[in-house]
Amino acid sequence: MWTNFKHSIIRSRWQIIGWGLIMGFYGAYMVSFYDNLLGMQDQFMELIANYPPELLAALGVSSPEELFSVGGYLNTYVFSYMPLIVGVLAILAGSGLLASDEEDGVLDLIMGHPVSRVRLFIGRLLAFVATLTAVAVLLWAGLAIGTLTVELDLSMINLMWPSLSLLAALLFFGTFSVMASMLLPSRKIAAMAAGGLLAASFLLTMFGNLDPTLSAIADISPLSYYQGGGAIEGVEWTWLAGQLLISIVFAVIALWRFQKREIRVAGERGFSLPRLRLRRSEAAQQA
Amino acid sequence: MIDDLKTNAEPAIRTKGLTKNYGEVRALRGLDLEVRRGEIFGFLGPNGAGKTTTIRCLLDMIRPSGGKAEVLGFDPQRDSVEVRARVGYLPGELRLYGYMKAGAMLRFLNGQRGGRADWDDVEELAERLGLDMNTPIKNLSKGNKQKVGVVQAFMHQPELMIMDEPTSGLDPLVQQEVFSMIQEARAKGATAFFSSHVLSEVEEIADRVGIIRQGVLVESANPSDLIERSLHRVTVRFREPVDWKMLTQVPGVEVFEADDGVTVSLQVEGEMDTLVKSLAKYPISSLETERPSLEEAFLVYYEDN
Repeated sequence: MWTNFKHSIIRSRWQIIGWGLIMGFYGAYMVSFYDNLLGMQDQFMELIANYPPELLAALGVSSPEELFSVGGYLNTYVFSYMPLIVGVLAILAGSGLLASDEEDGVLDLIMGHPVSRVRLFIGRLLAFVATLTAVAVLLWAGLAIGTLTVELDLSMINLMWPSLSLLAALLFFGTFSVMASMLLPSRKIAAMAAGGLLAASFLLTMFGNLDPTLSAIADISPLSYYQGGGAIEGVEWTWLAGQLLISIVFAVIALWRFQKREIRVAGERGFSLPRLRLRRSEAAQQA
Repeated sequence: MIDDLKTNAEPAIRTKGLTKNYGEVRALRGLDLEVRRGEIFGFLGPNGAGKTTTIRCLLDMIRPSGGKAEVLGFDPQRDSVEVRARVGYLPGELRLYGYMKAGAMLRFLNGQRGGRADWDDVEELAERLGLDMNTPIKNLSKGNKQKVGVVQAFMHQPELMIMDEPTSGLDPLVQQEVFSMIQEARAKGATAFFSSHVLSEVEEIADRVGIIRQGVLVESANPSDLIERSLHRVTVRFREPVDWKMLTQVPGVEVFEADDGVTVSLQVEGEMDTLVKSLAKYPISSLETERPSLEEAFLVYYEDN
């Protein structure tokens, strides 16, 4: 298990460094502007008054004043769209956790060695979780470094909660992607399904913010339970636990499917999705 | 200890009525196969006959639709880790991590075995095959990648080697080296089970061969027996023209050329005793027999195809 964990982490090192550093620098850069924003609060309020409500809804802002609290600021400028950006990493890494090696044909060779499917899966899943955690930690570190340049009445622990909330959302979509890769015919289709869920969830949450009559529908959106910068004011532990619990369920389903799965060789197709079009002969018969 | 005694008494590989369906395609239709411990067994068949499917069932990559399989006395599904710990596997479609160097790839695969292989042995195997361990795999030719596959299959000195087309892409010299390695492993008590399309190599090293056709084992014998049982080509030159038509009455004989009644070409199925006795009453100038190859013997089983 640890051989596979170590190997997967080494494979992901550039993803961790690349994504983590970019997110960290971005976080530090945005936090360092907080002072400036407060100094220009009146001008900004005038500007924001002219913003279309749809834009504020997309940024997860319910009132203009919210933009000037630390949590609201971080949410608007850093965390509101972070699940969409880092979600790409979670979905691609998740869908490729095993399906990538399987489609490349390397899994056939690895599975010829005395490693159980459970150990292989868990080793790689732990590395996947560690990769996402490392990116979230680097983002947190960037935010923390950024606070050195501004005066914020905020502890490092408080600053950690938005990153933790982001990590929970990433794990949700990442493990969904792992599960989809074990249920659907190819890695590409699994990534598309998980990406579709992420985009739909983002839009649903946005429309829910915009129109209160849609809030009941928006409640089914996973991102409705993502706090982002708002977590600074207080973490919704039930939301966090719920997301993590569902992620575990996704991972367990993925493991169950992997144990039942027939390992493909390079170039071999998965199963075909049911055909929606009638066969020509069937159509002729019906005519 | 009891388990060890039990497993040593078992054949290396045994399947009974093994079936595997891919939807409507029946890849294996009740395969009965037995590979004895300590032998080199060549598994022959054309594309799509079920060779790779059999191998992948034996290693729990895919699950049989029915029947039973045993590898070294273990159930490949229930005891898959036990089986793979004792087996060296070389896939037919070998794929490796292109970004790794050959040595790093072998270290990674050795890690999957808990570091069981002695690294000095790995280096020795690589040297025998002329594999440069410091070259990135993406820069290796197909043959050199195959050498990585061969080394990883041998490096932990397995009890059983299961190899799908082991010499694919290798040059003749390296092929010979691989044959030597298989024979040396056998001399130490290991069993080798390999599929191949190259019948001359099977004929060279296999103790026994099994021929699979449409998912069923149609023959299992040693190569020389197979050859003996197959068609022999015979050319007879008589001193003077003879009535060659009587030769068509000899059981197992088919005349396919007899231009002038002096030179007659025919083929004989099975032993030649009856033909020789029939020819004894004629004045013969020369008699040439052509020893069939395993390939010809093999083709007999596929004539209908």
